[in-house]
Amino acid sequence: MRRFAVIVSLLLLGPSPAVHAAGPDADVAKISPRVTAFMQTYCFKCHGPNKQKGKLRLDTMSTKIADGTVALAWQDILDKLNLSEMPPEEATQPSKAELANVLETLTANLREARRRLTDSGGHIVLRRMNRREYQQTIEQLFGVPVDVSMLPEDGKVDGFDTLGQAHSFSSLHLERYLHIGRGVLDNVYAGKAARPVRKRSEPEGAAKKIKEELPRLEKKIKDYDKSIAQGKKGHDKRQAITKEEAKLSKAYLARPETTDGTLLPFRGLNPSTFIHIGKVAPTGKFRVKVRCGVVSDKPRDDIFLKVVRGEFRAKVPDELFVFQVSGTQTQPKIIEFTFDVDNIRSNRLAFERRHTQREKLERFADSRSYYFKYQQVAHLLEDELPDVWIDWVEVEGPLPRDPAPLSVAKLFNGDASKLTDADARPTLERFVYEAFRRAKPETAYIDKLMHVYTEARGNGDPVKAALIDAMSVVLASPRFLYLFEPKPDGQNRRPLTDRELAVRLSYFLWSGPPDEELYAITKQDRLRDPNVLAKQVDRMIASPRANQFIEAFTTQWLELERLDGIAPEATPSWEYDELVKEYSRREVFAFFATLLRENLPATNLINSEFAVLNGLMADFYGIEGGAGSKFRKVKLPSDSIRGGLLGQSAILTLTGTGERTSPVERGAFVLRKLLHRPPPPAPANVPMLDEESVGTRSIRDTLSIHMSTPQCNSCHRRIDPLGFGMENFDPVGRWRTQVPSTDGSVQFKVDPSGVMPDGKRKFADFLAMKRHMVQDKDAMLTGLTEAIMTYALGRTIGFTDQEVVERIVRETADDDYRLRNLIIKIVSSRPFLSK
Amino acid sequence: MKKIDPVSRRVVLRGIGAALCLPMLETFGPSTALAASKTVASPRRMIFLSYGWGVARNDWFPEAAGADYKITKCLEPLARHRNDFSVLSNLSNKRASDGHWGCTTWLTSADVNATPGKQFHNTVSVDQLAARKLGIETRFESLELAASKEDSKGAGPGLSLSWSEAGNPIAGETSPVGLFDRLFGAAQVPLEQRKYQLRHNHSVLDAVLSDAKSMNARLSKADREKVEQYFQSVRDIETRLNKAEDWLDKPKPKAPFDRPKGNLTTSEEVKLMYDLMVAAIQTDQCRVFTYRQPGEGLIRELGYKVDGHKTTHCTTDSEAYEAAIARDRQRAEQLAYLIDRLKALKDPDGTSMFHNTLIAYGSGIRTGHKLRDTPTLIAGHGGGGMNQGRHYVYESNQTPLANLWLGMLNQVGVDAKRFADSDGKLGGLFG
Repeated sequence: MRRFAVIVSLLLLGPSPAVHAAGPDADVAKISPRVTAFMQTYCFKCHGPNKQKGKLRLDTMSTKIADGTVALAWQDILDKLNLSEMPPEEATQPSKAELANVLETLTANLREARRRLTDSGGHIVLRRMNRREYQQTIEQLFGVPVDVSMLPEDGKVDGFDTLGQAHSFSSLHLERYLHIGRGVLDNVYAGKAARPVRKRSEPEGAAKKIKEELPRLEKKIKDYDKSIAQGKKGHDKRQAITKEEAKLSKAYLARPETTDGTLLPFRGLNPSTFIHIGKVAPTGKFRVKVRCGVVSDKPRDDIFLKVVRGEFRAKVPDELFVFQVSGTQTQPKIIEFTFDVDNIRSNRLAFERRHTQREKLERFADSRSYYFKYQQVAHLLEDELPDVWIDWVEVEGPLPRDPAPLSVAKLFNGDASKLTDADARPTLERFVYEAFRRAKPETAYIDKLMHVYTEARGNGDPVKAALIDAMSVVLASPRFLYLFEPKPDGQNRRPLTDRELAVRLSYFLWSGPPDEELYAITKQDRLRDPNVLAKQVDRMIASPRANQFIEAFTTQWLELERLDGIAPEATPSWEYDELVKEYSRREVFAFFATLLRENLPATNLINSEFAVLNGLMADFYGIEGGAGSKFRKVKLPSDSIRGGLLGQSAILTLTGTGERTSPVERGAFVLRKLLHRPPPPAPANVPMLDEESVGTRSIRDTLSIHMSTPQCNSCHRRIDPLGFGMENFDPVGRWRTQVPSTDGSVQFKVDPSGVMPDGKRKFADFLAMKRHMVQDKDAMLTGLTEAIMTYALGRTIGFTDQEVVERIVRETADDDYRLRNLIIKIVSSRPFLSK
Repeated sequence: MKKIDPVSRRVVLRGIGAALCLPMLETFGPSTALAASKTVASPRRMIFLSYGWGVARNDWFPEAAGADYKITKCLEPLARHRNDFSVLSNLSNKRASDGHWGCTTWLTSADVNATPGKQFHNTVSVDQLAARKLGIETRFESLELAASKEDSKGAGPGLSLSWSEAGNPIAGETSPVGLFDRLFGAAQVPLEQRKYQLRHNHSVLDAVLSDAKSMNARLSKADREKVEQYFQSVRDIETRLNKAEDWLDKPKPKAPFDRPKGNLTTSEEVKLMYDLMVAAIQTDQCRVFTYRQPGEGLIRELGYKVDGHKTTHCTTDSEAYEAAIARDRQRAEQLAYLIDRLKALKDPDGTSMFHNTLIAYGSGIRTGHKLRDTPTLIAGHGGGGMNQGRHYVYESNQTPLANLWLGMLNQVGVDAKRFADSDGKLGGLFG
């Protein structure tokens, strides 16, 4: 049929451009006739056949954007229109609607042109391990964690850190790789005998300290009596605070529970309980047990134990944990968890009873205002939640683990002290082989390493030190740092070898090198067998190492780093604290992990009949049946607002400022992530809205300004309505029916009605909007597929990939949108299997 | 077909190695390097300072042109140096295209979309061109400093303000402690040991090069570009090492202050970076600096709960705008401090080190998404002959920022006729 059409046109038109359109020009983006029609009306009069004002003629411009020069010329036209520089005032003006439409179309045309002009042609640029991958690689090879904060940061493309295109290398990199690598080797091969730690802390000493402190407080109170008499300003308030402190201390000591354990009321009055194991060798995973319960007759589900990892008074904790306290003082239970001791982050753990108002109160902690401190103490007296009683805390570690391939156990058979010069070369060979992901190094390279070794020996270094010298060179060599897949110029696209495929796979799902099983399969050349490949993917996803992919991918795809900038104390919610912020992030990880590991439909990202919650998040959302310290699936009622990503606090918070929601950011987020209709970035140089004196208006009213100018309207008519549909969520994702004005002085009723970006399907509220979105699930799946492929392949997904992406999306849709199967389809696709 | 090996044998044999992880090698103390160049004029230096998100729109730019302009609220902390800097209004990187990229093309004036087949391609930054000449005698050709990514929002892509000749981002040093160690970190080691380390470093680099070369032979052109960056990094360290060899038996300069401790506030970090720049100048280890400065941290430290982006999208009666003014003033204070420090130091010919330095300070964003008529300030006299102490107002929307970069290059003695989209010289400022 198509061929026939071409022949007809040949007959009718002869060798015309229409013929070429089926040929190479098919790849070239074109300017839409809507734009040229507009220009015919408003531009050609002065820039056409009759007149060429400013020596500019537009009617003869190519509408095929075959190269950057043509694109730039059209960009100039778009800029002029955006800046309202053209048509000039005295000329006929287009209507607002006409202008908005042409701006939108021309912007879209130019984006498409850019996409085609910058197509990678399927070539994956040689890429370096990024910081995360370097860290994982060291950890897997040596079994120790490494501090990478001194490595330069990695560039990103489209938010992803796996693209070689964005990775640079400079002398600073080389210096740091050598330096950090040597540090790792010194640490691992230091030769000190492993000394496991086991430490139990019986915290009743707290009472003793408080007792000792009392006389000091009493003296202070007396001293204030004198200074108040002398008329010293503010000392009455200071005395009041000290009196409260003394009162609370006495009350604490009067409690019988303090003789055989410690009580955790809200901190600030009593020392919080902590355990510190100092710097330990060797590093590794440590287990913590806390025997504790709520001081209450019956168990409760609203009391949480907060664990802060960090040095005393550190501004930012190294890690935060929260656990549901399900035992009682009479029937305590043991809370158990593990943490990674790396001697980089602090090894001090402090235990507190979670107090939701803590951050709000601490907002004043730095201020020297005694008034606020007084308020703080006064507030505590009203703290009616029961205390947590801790019997003891125990830390034990490092927990035994399989020896890493380059550990002393494996590389030196457990003993590095009896090495001789004869061992150097074979040891280096094995070291390089493993570090180069089991690729055989060249003899010449080993010779050079041996030269480093002998030179160090000649300088008087012992065998081991000289070996470490040479090994640190390996950890800065290109074939360690780059994921090397050779392909010289002129060679056609080739299938990956099994070993290369295993490496690509493990850096995709684990951000680190393959394990023994994966390597073993490559030895038999079986990895490309579709069944074997699928089985390996299943196994890899089930492994905890896949958390690397889950966390890095969701963080980068969903822009979760934007949460970092949210200050809990600036939010309008008393319940939103650092813990909720941190665990809302983990909720997204846990949700995505559930879809992936249980192979559930990806459509759950839009709407789901369940949420994945721990006790803390369930408590925050007010959802029944979610109690517990671990994240798990909780069934939601059918009319719940919490299903899918858009019901999750992290997503709803990161799209705002914490203080206020931003319907624009939220709408743009939905377009980018769930509707696969990314809006263009805000055009440069377009003047900002006059935002002055909108204080008492509602945000919806304020943003209506967007609709009044075509330059804004052309994009915002698609963006803002989606954001309005989510206005029932406050800045941290709680449900609300009222929304404050910009200056907070007036409350308005939320109006969540709007229209989908097609301009046709209207919705009355958030749930109705989501129902429309579910209909657009293939668009979501396309966006998700492209995002995962970008991350997995380490290159942008462009025009060349359209066919592959469409096929994967179609097959996944037919396969009930199952997420793990989507991953299998991606790794079985030609782009993933070939170089 | 076979590409010529980018690293010649001769260079490799000259002895490379690096500061690397080994004890620091020689640096050039003022008593040596500067004394040696006494017959020539005092060295010229350049410092480039920039940040994202623009400035407080109504309180940064002065109104009247000329020498009698009234200093604005944001620049007021610089008043004591009034005769030694100028505000330049209405300079633009006309080809800048992303409203959220304040630093990416500030020093390159590039059109990053103009290279076919590449989604993004930057070009060499002006500091790197200057460093080719100014850096010949110093241990570091140039030093690039940067606030962390989290603290440089609104700066746009890049790892510092600097871009290499091939258009690749140059990694910025984000840690003041790291910078201190690079400048002064070495323990004193005996001469024999230093000689060994130089030789040994050569062997180290020789080994990594052999790996890079064998890889290179089996890659396509696009991939070789990546390995080329690796080669370049080795060459850069080589250059540094070759200089070290020449100065092997000279005493090394002492650090002018103790090794800084971690856990700094943002303003302490900026001050320390400035102190380290001054120390590097004082010991003549480097003459060209760029510094991509922090933003979010300053705002937080000043007690405001707004993010940097908000400060550029706000009403002038809002808390965010107040934060923008406070931040801009803080930055001006820090700059005034840097100028104080440089004024207090003397070059061998008796002029102040500040006199022989040019400091460019500004952002690629004016406010909001506006990339035209961006805030620009230039301090120092670049060795003399400048007309400082004025507010220059150029033609709005039309005058390329690259004209300033070109003028600065010429002022410090780099013979260039054009830079990026420059179309002439800036009237007045350069005499």
